[in-house]
Amino acid sequence: MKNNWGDLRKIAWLLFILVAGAVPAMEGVAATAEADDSTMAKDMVLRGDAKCTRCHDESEEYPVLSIGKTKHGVLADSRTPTCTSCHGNSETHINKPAGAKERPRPDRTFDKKSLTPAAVKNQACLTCHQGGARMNWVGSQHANEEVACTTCHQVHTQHDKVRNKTTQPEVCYTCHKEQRAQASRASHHPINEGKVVCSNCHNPHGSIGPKLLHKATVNENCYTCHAEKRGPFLWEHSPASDNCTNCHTPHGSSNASLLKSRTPFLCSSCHIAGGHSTTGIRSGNDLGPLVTPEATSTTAASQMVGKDCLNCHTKIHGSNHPSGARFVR
Amino acid sequence: MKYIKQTLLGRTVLSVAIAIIGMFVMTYANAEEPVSAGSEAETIDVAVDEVKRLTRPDSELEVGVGHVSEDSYKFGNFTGLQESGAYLIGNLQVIKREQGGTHYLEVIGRNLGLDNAQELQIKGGEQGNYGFSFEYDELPRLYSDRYQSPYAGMGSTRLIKPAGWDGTIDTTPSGAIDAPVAATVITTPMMTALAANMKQFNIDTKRQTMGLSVSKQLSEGLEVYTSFKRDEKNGTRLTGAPLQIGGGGSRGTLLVPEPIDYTTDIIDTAVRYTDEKWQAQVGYYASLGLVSCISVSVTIF
Repeated sequence: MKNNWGDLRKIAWLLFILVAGAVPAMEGVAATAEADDSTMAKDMVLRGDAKCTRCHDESEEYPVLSIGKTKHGVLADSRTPTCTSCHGNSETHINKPAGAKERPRPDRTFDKKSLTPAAVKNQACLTCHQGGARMNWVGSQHANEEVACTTCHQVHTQHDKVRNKTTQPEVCYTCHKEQRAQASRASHHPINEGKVVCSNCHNPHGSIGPKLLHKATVNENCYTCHAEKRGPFLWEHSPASDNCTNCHTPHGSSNASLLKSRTPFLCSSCHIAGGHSTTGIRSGNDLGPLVTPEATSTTAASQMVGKDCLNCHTKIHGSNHPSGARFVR
Repeated sequence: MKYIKQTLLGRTVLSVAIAIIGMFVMTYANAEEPVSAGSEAETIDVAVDEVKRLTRPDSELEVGVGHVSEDSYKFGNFTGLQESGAYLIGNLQVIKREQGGTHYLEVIGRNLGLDNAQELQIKGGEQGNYGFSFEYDELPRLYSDRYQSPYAGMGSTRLIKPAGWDGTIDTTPSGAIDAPVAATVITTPMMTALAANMKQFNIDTKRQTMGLSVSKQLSEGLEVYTSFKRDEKNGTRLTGAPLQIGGGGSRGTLLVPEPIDYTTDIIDTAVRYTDEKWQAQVGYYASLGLVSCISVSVTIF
């Protein structure tokens, strides 16, 4: 295969080896510098966390200290939250009321057993994380279905599964099971391969377009990677310009090229009259002797072999050839 | 035609991964191990180190070797593992956060060493002030390694017939429209020489994507953002080359490798303002597509 950017593989390996060698060295410097800091602060990670970390540590079901490994643990950033800015002051949780059999839960909890409403949970995040890609969160499908930020995101960990391309699909598949099945079909986008994942096309935080797509229309979204299908064309195949999903299903299909059904039947679902006996294809009479029980000839109709209708109508998305009205060139 | 097992279980992909997750844990543990037990100061040191280990970002380096038992284009589609034999693979995740500051640097590499499936991301900046990112990604799309054609020049825009193929073309428009061209035009010597002239050609494409983006917080809630992405797709796909002999004469088509050379540049820039009560964004988005190969010519007879 042609490679216009030279052999970047070698560069990648060089970088890989360099960083592999450099990282322990950098860590060594850090360790030396930090060895002088012998004062153990009362707060372990975040400002004012001592009242929490006196009980909660890394052995919890949801380890709390690893928040220090994330951007939420950078104390020098004035916006960095405290435990209570997300979980609430939780006075009764910290000081168990006399007579209470069980310690009340914090004001806001985010685990699976949590009774905190999704909107309240999300407010803890939206206080800072609104705008930008989350501009259309309010009123979006996920918001309306009471999906909480923490339904998908994990905060107290360095590795948030949904923000890693190789693990993200598993998080989305938890609810979107149909898409899990589709992505395993013979023709599929490289979702399970971790190359084109859910968030490459969808913005789960809200969108002005359909299906939480990043762009305003399906086609605009597809043209991000498939710009050669965009045109403008002298001869436009209107269903292709209208909506890619008229013919394709994006997650996976048992038909080649992510088509919704097999050609020529997909084509004949619209082209019910005219040349090539498309009515005959629909009725099964003109599919060629090979495909009928009483076959005696060895010649199938040309619309039934190779790429079917696309054997000749190759420029099916549109053509710029003066004689391309029928998309054959 | 060689039969290749399609089940993953039938395929013996043996891989041995040497994970060095926790490398830095050992670094800390070895550097700060107490000389004698029982000292209160040393106990505090150990506790401090433990907290540091649990609260500072980890970096990971993964190196492995694997083996693919047989060649398979299907198996290598999107993965770059189409060739049999041993391969080396590396994954990398370096996360550095400034202690006492807000600078950060993240380097993530995946599938390093794999043919046409490598990925590299570098992100850095100062939290709450500015950020930049660089991304490089490769994606192999393998269609077929069993395609054969007698024509020379496959992969180029000009396909040329083998020497000696000088058939006569019957342009009489009296034959049945669906009658195969070969039945009336191709001469016996040409068909005899067909097998000898067949050449194998791999039908595949490769995408290479490179992206750069920069963002800057101008003031509280006001941010500018700009990104540039170049996506190049090169290789071949099978396309039909339809032909017709004379007006209303016999029709036929042959599937030929069409060269693919697409370049798409995407520029996305925006100014965003976010307030507790309202949000606004003004942006500019440009997608510039370039299709370098627009035709294939085939010398049929």
